[in-house]
Amino acid sequence: MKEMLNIRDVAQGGLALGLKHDSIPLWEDGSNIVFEDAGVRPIPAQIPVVNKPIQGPARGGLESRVDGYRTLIWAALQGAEPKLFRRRENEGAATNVSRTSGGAYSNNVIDETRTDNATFWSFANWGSDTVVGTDGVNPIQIYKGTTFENIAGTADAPTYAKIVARIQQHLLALNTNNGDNVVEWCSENDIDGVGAWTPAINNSAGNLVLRHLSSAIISAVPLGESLAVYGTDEMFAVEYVGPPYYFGQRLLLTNIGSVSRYGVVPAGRIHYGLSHRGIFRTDGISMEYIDNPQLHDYLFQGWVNLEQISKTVGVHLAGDRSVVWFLCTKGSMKPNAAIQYNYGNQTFTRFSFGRSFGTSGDVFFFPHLIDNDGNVFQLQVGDIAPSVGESPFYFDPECTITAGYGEAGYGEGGWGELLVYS
Amino acid sequence: MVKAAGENSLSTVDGIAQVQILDSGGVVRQYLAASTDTVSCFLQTKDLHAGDPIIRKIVDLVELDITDQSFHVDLHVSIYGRDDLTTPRKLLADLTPNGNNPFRMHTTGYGYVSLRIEDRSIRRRWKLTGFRILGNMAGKRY
Repeated sequence: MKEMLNIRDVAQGGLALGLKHDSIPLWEDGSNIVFEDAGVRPIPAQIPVVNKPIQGPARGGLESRVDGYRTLIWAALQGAEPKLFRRRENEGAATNVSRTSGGAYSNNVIDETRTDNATFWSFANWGSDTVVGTDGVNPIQIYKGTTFENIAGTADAPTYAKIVARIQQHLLALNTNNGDNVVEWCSENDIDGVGAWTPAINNSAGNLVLRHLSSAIISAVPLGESLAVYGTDEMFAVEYVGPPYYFGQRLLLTNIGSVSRYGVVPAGRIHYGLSHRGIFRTDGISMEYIDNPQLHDYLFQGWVNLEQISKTVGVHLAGDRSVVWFLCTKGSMKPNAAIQYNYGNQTFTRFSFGRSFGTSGDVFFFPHLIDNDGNVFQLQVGDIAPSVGESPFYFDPECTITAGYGEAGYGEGGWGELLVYS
Repeated sequence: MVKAAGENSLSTVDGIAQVQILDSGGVVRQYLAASTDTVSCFLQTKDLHAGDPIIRKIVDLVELDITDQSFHVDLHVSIYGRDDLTTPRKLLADLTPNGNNPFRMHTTGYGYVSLRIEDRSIRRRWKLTGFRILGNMAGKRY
């Protein structure tokens, strides 16, 4: 008996999706594993932390700190009628924070059609315990710790906007009723005062049109001090330039875009995105496609349901030094799988479970992922425990969460017979 | 000390088991939940020829270097072989774990061998950092 093979670097090349035999470094297939350093391991544990408040997928959300509490806010879709929910770190369950006046939200697009992308809410932190949200159908919503409510009519804000973002002391509304390539902003430090959105000699409200855009504005992601605005095939920077114009636009790159509202993921000053041309990385100055042609063909000519690609949701998992995109595969109307790129060792892998939305752990210690039923999971709880606190989001450092026959993981937690605290 | 919700038992709400933790400081951590959906975890190598695809390899032993494991890891290893990349792979051995011992077998000789590693347990933590395949070269096919 002699040694025939001795493989030490098992992370080499990652998962070679789409490659032909001779080009495959080592692993030709796999699922729910990640490559890190020189090893391979199962994906990190996920602990369900919030039972679904309603049966339906999440369509957008953010992490914020409101009234001193770390707060997860998300939109859940039940039919075409979305509801907004909050989970504070000191609360055991989700709280409905949908508007109390103006009736139920309406007319969200459940499934992508030839003319409409699936609805995703866009949220922005406005500071001062205030969060702003919008769905592109109903009026812009403002949350100040109790419930979201319509922005005051006297503010003269756009009738609707598909995206909201904040730069400097201004709230920006993008893709509005005034044009799908329009950017409008409120007067300085005033989002809902009388005339706050009407450009006038005595305020700093304004608007501009991204005329070079060959499509509607699809996505907007912070890039340093500017806002990177993506269409299907262009990337713009919307930047604060000061009075008298306040904001300007700059075409950064062409042949780069986003397939969905959350298709582009920021990781520091680098953006990773899924466009119809492939998976790219850009810093706003240069860009490169990080998928090879074979992976591109694998994704777009066989694996991905292109008719529902606007449901693609990207999440930055900083703890794994990776970006993951949950998407619908062929035959599925829900995001039911994922492709992950590890920017630390430049490897790809894939997951066989879906999540309808996720946040990157901007305020909490860990990312949150929400499944297609609306249950909220927290990533990596079992592996890394931050500190003692009053919240179920925290665990003692020596606390090992063991559910059923093993540690929770892969988007599930076993059968939960016993939890061991040591 | 840990208690499930209620009386050390689980209550199930729409497929989610609600549990709570009572930590050493007496703080109850509620609404942790364990869902019941599971997904598989596996890795499959390409066809490995160890330098010469026309020399048959009889696999006698596979060693996995596993670190960072929690409890007992229930990994299964399957060995496949074939002489020609255009023909289907043949399953040569399907091995269940035997403690920390290497996976032992004695396969038919093939020009290519490949390895499939699957975690069939309910989610354990482990990390594969390498593997070795030992056996005998059985001469050329022709």
